[in-house]
Amino acid sequence: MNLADLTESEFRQRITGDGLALQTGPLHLRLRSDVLLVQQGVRLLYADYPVLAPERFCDHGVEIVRAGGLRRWLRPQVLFLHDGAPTFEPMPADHGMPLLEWALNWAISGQAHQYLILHAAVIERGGRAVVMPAPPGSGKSTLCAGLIHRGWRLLSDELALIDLGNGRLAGPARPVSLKNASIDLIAAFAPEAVFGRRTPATVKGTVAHLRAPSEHVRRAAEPALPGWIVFPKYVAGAAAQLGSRPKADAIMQLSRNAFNAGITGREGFAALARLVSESECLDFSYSSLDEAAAVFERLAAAA
Amino acid sequence: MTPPLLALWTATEPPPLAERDWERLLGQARRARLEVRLANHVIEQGWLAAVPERAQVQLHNARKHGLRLQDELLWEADRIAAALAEFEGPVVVLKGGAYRLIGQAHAEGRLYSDIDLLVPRAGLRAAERALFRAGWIAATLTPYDERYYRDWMHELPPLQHVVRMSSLDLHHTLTPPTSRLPVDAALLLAELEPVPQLPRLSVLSPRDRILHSLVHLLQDGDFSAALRDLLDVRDLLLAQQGEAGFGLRLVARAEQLGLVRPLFHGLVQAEQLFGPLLDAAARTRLAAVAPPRWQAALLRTLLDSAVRPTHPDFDTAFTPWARQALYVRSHWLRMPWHQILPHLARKAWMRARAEPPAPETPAVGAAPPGQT
Amino acid sequence: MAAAAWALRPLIDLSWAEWGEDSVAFEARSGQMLRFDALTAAVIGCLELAPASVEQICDDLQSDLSGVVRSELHGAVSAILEHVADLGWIHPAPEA
Repeated sequence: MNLADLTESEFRQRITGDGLALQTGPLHLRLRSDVLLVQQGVRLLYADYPVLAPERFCDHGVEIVRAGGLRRWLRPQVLFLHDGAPTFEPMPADHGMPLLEWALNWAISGQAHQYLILHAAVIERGGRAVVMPAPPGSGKSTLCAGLIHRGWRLLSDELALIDLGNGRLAGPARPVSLKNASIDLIAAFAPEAVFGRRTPATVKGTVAHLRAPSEHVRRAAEPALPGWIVFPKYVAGAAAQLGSRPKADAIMQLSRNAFNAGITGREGFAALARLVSESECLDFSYSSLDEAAAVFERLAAAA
Repeated sequence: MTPPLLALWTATEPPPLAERDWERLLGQARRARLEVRLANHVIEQGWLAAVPERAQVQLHNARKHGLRLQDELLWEADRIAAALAEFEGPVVVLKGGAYRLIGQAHAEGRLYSDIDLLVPRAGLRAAERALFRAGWIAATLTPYDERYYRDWMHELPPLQHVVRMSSLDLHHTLTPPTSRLPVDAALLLAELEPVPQLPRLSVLSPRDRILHSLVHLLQDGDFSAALRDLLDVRDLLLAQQGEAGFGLRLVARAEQLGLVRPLFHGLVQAEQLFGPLLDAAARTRLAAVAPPRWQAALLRTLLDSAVRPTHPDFDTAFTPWARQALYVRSHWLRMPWHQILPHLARKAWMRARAEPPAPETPAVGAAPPGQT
Repeated sequence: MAAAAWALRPLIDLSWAEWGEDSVAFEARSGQMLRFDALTAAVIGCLELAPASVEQICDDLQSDLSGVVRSELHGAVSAILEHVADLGWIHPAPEA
């Protein structure tokens, strides 16, 4: 049974009660919120994910709740609670959905040490993954959002989960976070795409979430083998171009994008080295999504 | 019925919990900073097979994290030993750092690699200089905080390494000189033990390690980790059980150092949670020097509440008040009254302004959208 | 002094990944990941096997390096050893 199959009252009862338990690929998540915007956002963006019985074990849980106190009437705020405690400052009430997505990333990257976790987007075709690490502002999310509507399966837009045992890439296939101009760009590029509410005036500008395509959610538990590591860079006016990147370079760069390299120690290093050895490492500059899609198409064909 | 998080340390069987309750237990443990200790306990007791599969993964992850922090601690201690190679005088590693370095099993419960060092007061400047040369600098503080540390508390502000960002607290006593429980450092320094792999560094004697834990618990004012600290005390006491007469010597040492009250109060709590920890002779001696009954009863009530792990599942209406009262008491123990009130007011104001503490695992891009 | 041997410190726990001329080492205790050129990696590799002096390391490596002047190699290896010692990875070998 998926989230969409719950009645409105069942949904509300779970998400305001002991928490809504969902399966996202290999992970079980528990979401709680008394904030209407968050409830609506979850209902829309997580519609295709299987719901779990409330008594099932969830690996990670987050709560987005209304902040109390006098402030509540003057300037409504929301809080992220982890294990029942606030961990960060409250945020404006209408930032609830971006906060939820961020909180889930935070919880997962802080605990899921059965994986080496990289700050990168991961997409898949033909059983092989493209890992796209990139600092903020490199356009990786836009690229990811575009490519998943041109034949590539979404594993994740933020967290690359590399299984320490077998080196495969796993993905929760959660909503893709986009901002500012990217939102309209993707809406035009993929008219079938479903977006959640736009949240204006965050520090990053306007943020909106793109719902993961149903087929990708359905296959979210399917891992991928290493294929390519692509370092994307959006360069205005540039023609789409791939270039080779030395492997030693690639591993050093990836280590700077690793959440839990230290904690996973030797195992993590071995997994990272294996990923780099088994992937073609490339730099990619582009400005047009259509051109980018074409280049990636050729990449997949040559595999 | 005792909550699992309190009962499992002395249980002979794994807690008979359903999946969802394991999820709750892990959350409580994280909140009480006991997740690593919980993981190690479950694994070492051979209880893993009784744990639901997904919960097993979380326990392994916590254990992994703990092992990682041990390594970090060892590395930090190594770098400190190198920085202080020319320093004349003992360098004592305190608290969690000490437990790990001498290979005591329960040490694997600690989830941070911050280190506390004790050096003779006369060597403080030299130590600070040597550490500075090796990259440890005082974290940026307001002038008020600098005065709090240097003038009022006669301590150095915490040091941070410029590259590794690790933290180091340099002390010359166990309790600040302005405290009502001043401890003569010379007595402690007379009974040190060397750290096996790093001979430049030392740790306190077993008796002093126990007393320091208890002083730390009752003085420092941070009770969110009280259960964890009491578990450490329990383990330290159990480790000495083979030594005949240790309990009596512990009480004698507490008398010598003027630390009978923390020993008494801490042991009351620990024994209530974990059963008897002292032999009869030691207990008799301690009862003879115990604080007045009214004081003991009041403090016991306060501590009872404060020790329960902080988590919505555990909170009673009473708990926050108990914590507050103990916090005030801790400050009372550390500073004269006329200094306490302005200080507390200042702390409350700064807390209202400041960011909450950062999460324990730093992440790439560590702030939520909307915060820098 | 030239005869003094160097050794890997017992604390140090190294894993390696190599691609062509480039080597990357992961030191598990400190969590450091560092990239080295082939010569540096080879020097560290020698010491991972057994304590050795500069001369002994040069002897070991000379056969793999054709056309290198001994004195230049000596200079390079000495500089490398100093650098790696600064990292805290090696120290003068303890007396046997």
